[in-house]
Amino acid sequence: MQVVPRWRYKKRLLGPKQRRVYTVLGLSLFALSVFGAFAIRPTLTTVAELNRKIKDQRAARDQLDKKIKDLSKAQIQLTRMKADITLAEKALPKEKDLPTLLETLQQITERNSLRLRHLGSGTANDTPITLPNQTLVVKALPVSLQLEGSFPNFLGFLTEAESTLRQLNAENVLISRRDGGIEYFSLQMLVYFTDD
Amino acid sequence: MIKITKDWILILICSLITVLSWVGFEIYRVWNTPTVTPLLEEQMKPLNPELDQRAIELLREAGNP
Repeated sequence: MQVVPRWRYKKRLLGPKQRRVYTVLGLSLFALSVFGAFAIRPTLTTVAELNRKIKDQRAARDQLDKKIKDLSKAQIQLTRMKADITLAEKALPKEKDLPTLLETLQQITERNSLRLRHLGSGTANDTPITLPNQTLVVKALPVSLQLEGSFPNFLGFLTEAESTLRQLNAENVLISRRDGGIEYFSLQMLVYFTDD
Repeated sequence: MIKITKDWILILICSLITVLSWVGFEIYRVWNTPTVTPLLEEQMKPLNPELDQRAIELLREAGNP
């Protein structure tokens, strides 16, 4: 058996200095890449994910705490203003409530000495109403009226109709004069209600 | 035995840069992906506890002409 001298064995394993440097550097870079891809990446991703979850959960907890406080405040106000809430429900009812509306319009017509020739309603549409903090979507029901009488009386009718508790808007008015000085008014209104 | 030359070192450096970029972009993506569910987001919407006193006043006036 041939015995390899110790110095030759060492030289064969490590080689010249430059080769040794390249080998160590290459293996280090390879190890870093493999660890980076399969060990460091999943670990750091999990850390980032958990940090993000903690941040989001803290924000959610703060928001929900604030909302609970606001709800308590709103509950107190609601109890204090129960009578006024009934008014609000009458102003924006949960249904069309056509009979009450027609009765109100008829009474206003009579009070202003006008003759109601026609009263009809169309199909309700969603109408967004922008409030300071939010946009509320309510239903708007188109109502058309044909009235007969004098112009000052019609103005009185409009003023009274728009100041009733029920929320409505006059959208379009068409005035025509016939023989004998009698004027005809064709009025398009939007009547609002919620549809929960 | 594979002889590690300058070319190999260059390839390994490029691979390391690629892996580091991958790690970086992955962390950036995870950090910028919200974890709040749509339901929780809906529940988190702020609520204004102040009732509109002016509107209530107008309704009172309309209710008692």
